[in-house]
Amino acid sequence: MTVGEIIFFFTVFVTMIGALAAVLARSIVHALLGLITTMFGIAGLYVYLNSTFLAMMEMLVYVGAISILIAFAIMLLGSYSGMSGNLRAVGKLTLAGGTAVVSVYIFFKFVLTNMNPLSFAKYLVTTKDIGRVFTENLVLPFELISLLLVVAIIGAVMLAIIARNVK
Amino acid sequence: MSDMFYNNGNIYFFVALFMLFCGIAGLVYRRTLIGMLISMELILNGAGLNLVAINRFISPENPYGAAFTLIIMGIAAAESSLALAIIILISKRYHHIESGDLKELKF
Amino acid sequence: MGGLVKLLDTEMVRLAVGLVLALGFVVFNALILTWMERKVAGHMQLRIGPKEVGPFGLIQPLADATKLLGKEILIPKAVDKTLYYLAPILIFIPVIVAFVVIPFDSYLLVKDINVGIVVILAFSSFTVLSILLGGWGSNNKYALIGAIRSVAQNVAYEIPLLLALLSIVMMSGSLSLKTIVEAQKGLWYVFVQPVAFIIYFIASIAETNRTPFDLPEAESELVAGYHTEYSGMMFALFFLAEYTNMFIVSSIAVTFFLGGYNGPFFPGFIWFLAKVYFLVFVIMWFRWTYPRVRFDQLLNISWKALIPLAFLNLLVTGGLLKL
Repeated sequence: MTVGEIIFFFTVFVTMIGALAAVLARSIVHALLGLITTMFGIAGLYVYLNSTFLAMMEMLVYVGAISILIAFAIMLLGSYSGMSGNLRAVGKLTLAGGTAVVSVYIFFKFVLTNMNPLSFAKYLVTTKDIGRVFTENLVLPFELISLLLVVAIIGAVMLAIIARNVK
Repeated sequence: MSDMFYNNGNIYFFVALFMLFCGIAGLVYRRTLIGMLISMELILNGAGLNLVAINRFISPENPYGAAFTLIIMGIAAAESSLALAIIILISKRYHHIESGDLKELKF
Repeated sequence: MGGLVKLLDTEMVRLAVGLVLALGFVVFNALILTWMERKVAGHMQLRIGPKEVGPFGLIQPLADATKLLGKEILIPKAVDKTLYYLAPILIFIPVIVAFVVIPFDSYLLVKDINVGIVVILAFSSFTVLSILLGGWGSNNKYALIGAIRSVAQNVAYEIPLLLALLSIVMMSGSLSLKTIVEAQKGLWYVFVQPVAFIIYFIASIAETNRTPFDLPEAESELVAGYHTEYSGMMFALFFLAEYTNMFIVSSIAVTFFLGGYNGPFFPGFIWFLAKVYFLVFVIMWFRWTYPRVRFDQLLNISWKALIPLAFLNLLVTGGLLKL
C-alpha cells in the first residue's frame, strides 16, 4: 500500500461523494459544491491516467469557468431558483436503490477480476503530443470547435439583448 | 508496477459509469433547470473520463482520447453558457424556473 | 496490498518539506508586507507611518496579528454555514500550489512540473470561486454585490493574463517554469516583449483586487465588500491570502519577464527575492497614485483595450518566430 494508492482511493472516494452530493443535495448551491468536488476528483484521476495537461485544462475550464458561470446565474436568479426534488419518498428510494444495485453488480462482476493490466505507461501525454494530434489528425474538430464557440458567443449576446427588451 | 490498483483499468470505467448513472438520476430527479444543467455536466465528465481511460489502457499510441476530451470540454462550455442565457430569459418571463410549468411553445 | 505503508519516498519527503516551508514563508511574507504597506503608504502621503512599536515600527505587524487573533469571531445567525466556513480555507489552495512550482533558485524548487504555468493559472481560478462563495454565504447585500463585481473583474482580466504569458511560452517553447528561467540567461524577456510585460502587470493587479481595481473591497462604497461579515481570524485569512497572492503574481512576473534567479554575484534566491519585492513595491506605489477605476471603465479596459492588444502581440510574436 504505497502513498500513491492511498491518494488514489481518496481521489475516487472524493469523486463519487461529489457526484452523489450534486444529485441529492437539497439546496442548489450545495449541489454546485458537489459538482466542483467531482471535477477536482476527475482532474486527479486524469493525473493517474498520465495526462497532466488534461487535468489542468479540466480545472481551468470546468472549475474556473463553467462552475463560476453556474454560480453567477444562481446568484442572479436569487429567490427564483427553487428547491429540488419532486418525487415522493418511495420514488426517491427506488431510484437510489436501483442505481446502487446496478452499480454494485457491475463492480463485483467486472472490477474485481483482472483485465490485461498494462505495465507502467510508455509515455506521458505532453502538450506537444496533443498539439501534434490537433494539427495533423484532428484538424476538422479543432476548427469546428472554434466555430461552435463563436456561434455560442453570438447566441448568448443575442439572448442578452432580447432579455434587456423584455420588461 | 502492474500490481498497483490504479494501473488496472476497470476502476476508471466503473467511476465513469457511476457518474453517468448519477447524471441521469439527477436529470430525472431535479425539478429546477439549473439542477438539470448540473447533472448534464456530470454526464459529460463521465464520458470524458471514459475516453481517456480507453486511450491509456487499450490504445496508447496516439493521444486521441485526451484531444477529444478537450473538444468535449469546449462543447460543454458553449452549451452551458447558452443554457444559462436561456434560463435567465425564462426566469424573466415566468418568474420561476421549475420545469413543471414550462408548457407554452410561444415565448 | 497489506504490509507496511512505504512512506520514505524521496519525492514525498521533498513535497512535505516544501509544503511546510511554503506555509512558513506565507506567514513571514505577510508580516513583511504589512509593515511595508503601511510605511510606503505613510511616506507617499508625506507622513511617517507606524513608529511607536519597535524601531521603525518593525514589530507593528506582530501587534496587528495579536489584535486580529484576539478579536471575537462574530458569526451571524443566517449565514449558510458550509459556504461561510469554506471560503477562507479555499482561498489558500492556489497560493500553496503556486509555491510548489515557482523556482526560487536553480535547486530550490519543490517539483518541476512540465506544465508548470498551467498549474498556477488553473488553480488561481479558485480564488474567484472562494470570493463568490464567501459573498453568497454571508447572506448580506453588500457582500453579494462585492462578490459579483469581483467575479466579473477576475474573469475579464484572466484572458489578457493568459495571452501575455502565452507569447512568452511560444518564445521559449516550454510550459515549465524552470526552462523559461534557464532560457533567460542571456537576455531578459522584458526587453524582447515589453508590451506583454505591461499587459501582464496590469492584468495581475486586477487579479489580486488591488487599487486601482479594488472595487470588490471598495472601502468607501460597500462597507468592506465580500469580507464584510468576516471578523477576527477569518478576516486575517482573507488578508493573508491577498498579500501572498501579491507575492505570487510578482514572482510569476519575475520568472517570465525579469530573468528569475539569474544575476551576477549573489546567490540566485537573493536576486529573486530582490526583484519580487521591487515589483511588490511598484504595486503598492500604484495604490497611492491612481484613483479607483469605475466598474464599467474597468471592464472596458479589459475587453476593449487589453485583449485586442494581447492578441496583436501574440500574432506579431508568432509571425516573427516563424521568420
